[in-house]
Amino acid sequence: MNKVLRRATFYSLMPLTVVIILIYLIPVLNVIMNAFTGFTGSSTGEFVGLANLAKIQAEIPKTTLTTLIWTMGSVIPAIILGLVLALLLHENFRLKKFFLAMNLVPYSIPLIIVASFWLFVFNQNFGILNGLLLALGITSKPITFLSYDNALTSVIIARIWRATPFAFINFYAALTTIPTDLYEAASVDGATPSQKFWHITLPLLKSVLSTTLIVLTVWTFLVFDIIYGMTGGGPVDATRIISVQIYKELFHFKDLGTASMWSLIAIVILTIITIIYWALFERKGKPDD
Amino acid sequence: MIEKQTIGGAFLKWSLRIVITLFALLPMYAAIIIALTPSSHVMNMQLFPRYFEISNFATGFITIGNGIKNSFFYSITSTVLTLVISIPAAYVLARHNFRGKQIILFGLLFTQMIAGIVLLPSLYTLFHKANAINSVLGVILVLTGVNLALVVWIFYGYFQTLPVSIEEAAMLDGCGYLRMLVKVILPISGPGIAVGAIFVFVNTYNEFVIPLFLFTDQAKYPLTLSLYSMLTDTTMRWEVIAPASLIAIIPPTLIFLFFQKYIISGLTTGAVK
Repeated sequence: MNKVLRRATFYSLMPLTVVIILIYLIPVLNVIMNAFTGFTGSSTGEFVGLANLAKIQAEIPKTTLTTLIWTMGSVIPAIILGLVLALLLHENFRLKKFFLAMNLVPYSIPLIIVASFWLFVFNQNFGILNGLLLALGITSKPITFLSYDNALTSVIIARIWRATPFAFINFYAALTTIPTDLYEAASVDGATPSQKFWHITLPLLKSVLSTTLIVLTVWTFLVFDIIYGMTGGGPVDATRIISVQIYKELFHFKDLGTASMWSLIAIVILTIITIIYWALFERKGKPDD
Repeated sequence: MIEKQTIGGAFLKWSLRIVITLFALLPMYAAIIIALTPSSHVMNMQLFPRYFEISNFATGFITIGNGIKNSFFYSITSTVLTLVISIPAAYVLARHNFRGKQIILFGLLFTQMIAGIVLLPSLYTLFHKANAINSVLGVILVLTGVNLALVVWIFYGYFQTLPVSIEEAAMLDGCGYLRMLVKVILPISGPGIAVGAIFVFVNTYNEFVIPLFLFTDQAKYPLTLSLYSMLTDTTMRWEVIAPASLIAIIPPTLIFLFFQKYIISGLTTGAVK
């Protein structure tokens, strides 16, 4: 590499590196340090070992379980729905463009507005869902969608609604890259539509499927806006996932130590999930590649 | 037999298409009904719009107008800053081999795993110490930082699809590096750059958590925070929240639908792989 190129490379990468260090590297190191530092009482600013972990210990099982239910409960249905939609809208039919556009609308809506929209659907007095269920005779009295027992399901439905278009567009884009002569050849060999799906479409969608699964899992795990806007993490602890917990520790309890410990827990769990996914897809991917 | 199957199949397909599309539109429909309802009748159940109180939209717009203005400002500045930082970086990553390249690419990927709320306790304290809470510049920097990795990856994929020959010719003609990037690469990178710019603009416009932690001054609130303030008011003004929400989604929705083709082709060429 000559001198001009080396200098160009250096100056091209410097701003990126500086911003990433400022916004990610320093805060990450800071989170790890703060997770083991005391910020309340007499131990302010001191290394306290696992004291912050002990403080939040009682809440860890429930909050972690709620976070995992929230994540998997919305990611898996969104992926299935997105895949079904991609298969349905991929072929040519009348009004294709209209259906495509309508199903992409939720894709770009701010999460806090997703919360506000679904409050209109789930409201106990004027919510349209109760209106529909009552009109169809499915229920005889309004359902309290945001009560302790139902709130988690309700926020998950809102999340599915927002995540589906992302899965859909990924699958749709991937479907357009599959050469049609593969299907024609299969037809000549007398393959049924379901055989074509399992033996041509799905194997070719595998890499998109794994990317979509991993990206949606990481994003959903850390979503804050939808839950904070719809339930504030309540009623009581019904929808209290880790992201809500981080906010509460910092702004309600003014405890940077426990807030950082929750952040660290989130990072650790996400790392484990990523490794599991990676191992799963890598191993399955071997024979084909 | 075959005939029957295709009719049944077509019916099933159309039913599914319609049901899923209705699910996609239901929340907006619910909001439109309330947005057209006078405040005195909001608590009544309506399956179809019964009123036409269009003035709610004016009230809604006034309530979040300043927020929308702020959001546009943050989104535009952050998009420009992201492009300026990421285009040259992605270009050298796509074109040259050098020590540390893999570390940078992996590091960028890693940032995607710890994004958002996890870092905000730290960023909040760092901002607090630097007396930078409510600093617009500081928030724009963070908004830029969280989008950089995604955009560098999109451009990295895109630049690899461009032919090297043009650049080599330009370099041989004695064209400087920066001039070559601006005069030769940028003009042929329109679609790729558009996809990256749209993602940053929309992501920034939609951002809620970063300004929630780092702004306390209401005058600086982006529209997401203005809207959240309405959701936490002591008296919920549903007939104002509804039109405000509907107005707020217009910019990102229009941008997305308008550039739909670019985004889908961007996805197939390298953004998500």
